[in-house]
Amino acid sequence: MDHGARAGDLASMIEGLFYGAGLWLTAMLSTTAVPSLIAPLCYAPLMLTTGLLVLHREGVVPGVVWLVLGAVLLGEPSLVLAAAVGAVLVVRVFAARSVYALLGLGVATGGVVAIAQGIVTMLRVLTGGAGGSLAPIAWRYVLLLVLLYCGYVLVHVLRRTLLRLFVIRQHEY
Amino acid sequence: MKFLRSLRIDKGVRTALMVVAAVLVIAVLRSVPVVGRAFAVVERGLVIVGTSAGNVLSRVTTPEHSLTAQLAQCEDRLRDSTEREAALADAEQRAYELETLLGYVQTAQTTAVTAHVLSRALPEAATVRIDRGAAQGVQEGDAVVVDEGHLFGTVVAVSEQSADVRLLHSRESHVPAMLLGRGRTIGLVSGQEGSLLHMEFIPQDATIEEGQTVVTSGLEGALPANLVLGTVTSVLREETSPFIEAIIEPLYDSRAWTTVLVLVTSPV
Repeated sequence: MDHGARAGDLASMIEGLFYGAGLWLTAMLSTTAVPSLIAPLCYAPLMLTTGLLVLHREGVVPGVVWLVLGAVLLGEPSLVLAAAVGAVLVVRVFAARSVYALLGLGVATGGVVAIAQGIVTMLRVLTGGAGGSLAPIAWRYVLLLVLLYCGYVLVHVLRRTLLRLFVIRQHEY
Repeated sequence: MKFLRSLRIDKGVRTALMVVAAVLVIAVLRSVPVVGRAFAVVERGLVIVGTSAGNVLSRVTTPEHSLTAQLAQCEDRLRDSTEREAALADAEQRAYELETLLGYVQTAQTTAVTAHVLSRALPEAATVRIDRGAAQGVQEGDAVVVDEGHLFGTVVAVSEQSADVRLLHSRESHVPAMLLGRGRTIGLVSGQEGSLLHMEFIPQDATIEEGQTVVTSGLEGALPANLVLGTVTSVLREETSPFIEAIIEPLYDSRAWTTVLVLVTSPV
């Protein structure tokens, strides 16, 4: 029993470290390679996409932690809103692990975030402050859905490969 | 772990706590100079990869004989001629100063320090981080240029080994400007939506036309005069307004540059 519990601890420790490194890598890519691309690819919401994938696959707590830490690392408060909305939707509406549930989660969460960002942008423009265009927000929304689908396919391919190579066991998923 | 187990914390929470711990460990490790430098190398590599990919995509999506390609060629030629014009005007200005202000002692020395872009903020934020900081003499307000004297931005925050540069097209950026070859400030160039710049507070009596080159006037802080800002693409006149406004088009794409020059006013 104790041996089993220890093995479980080690597994969650390795998993946590793996996710931590992944989160840092995502933050690094979001501030280096992605913004260096041409428009509209430079608007790709990498952190939001990976956060929603984690939320969908791994559950509420890791997903929310991923998005909140991402918000801290990137200084982007909209990710906290995405974490709150996503957590509620995963528990109440999109609990299934299908691609449709993931895309539904993306449409709803991305939509709420896009609307919030749009309102902030319009308020800034109306109050004469440093405003912005609505086009990047729209592009971010479209790219989120594309990346979510690609991410879903990638995760499946990766999982199948790891299963075939015996790196992971069937019952882990 | 035994402690967490004794608290009967669920597996998801344990994993989340490990993620937080891992991120904190990485953040702490990053503050160690050697690790920080290794991170900087990786970040610089990622910026170069992203920029190269962007340039390749841009070339692939633009056919060689398309109007966009021809426009790009014309812009290249315009940039070359503007650079020559700016250098000539600068030389003329210097000669004039030397001739007329004999005995004038130049106090502000400028040295250029090469820097690499480490990371870029979100596209709307319009700031980049470079790998040169206070240790290399970089100070707040120093000008950052690309190519042969095109103003890229100004330094807004400095740490020991890095600095944040606010790009010219940021909405927070305001640079006193003049027309090339005219010796007085005629307006203030600010960032606006997209890559275009907005020049305001131009007096009604100023002569400004489309195609003219706009340069820095050297009136603000450490910004030297005659750094190219762009060319006038349209002039907005309203008879009831006390000022004229103009739209300025920069002659470079800020996203295409990964190496820049910081004009350091107090070199180490």
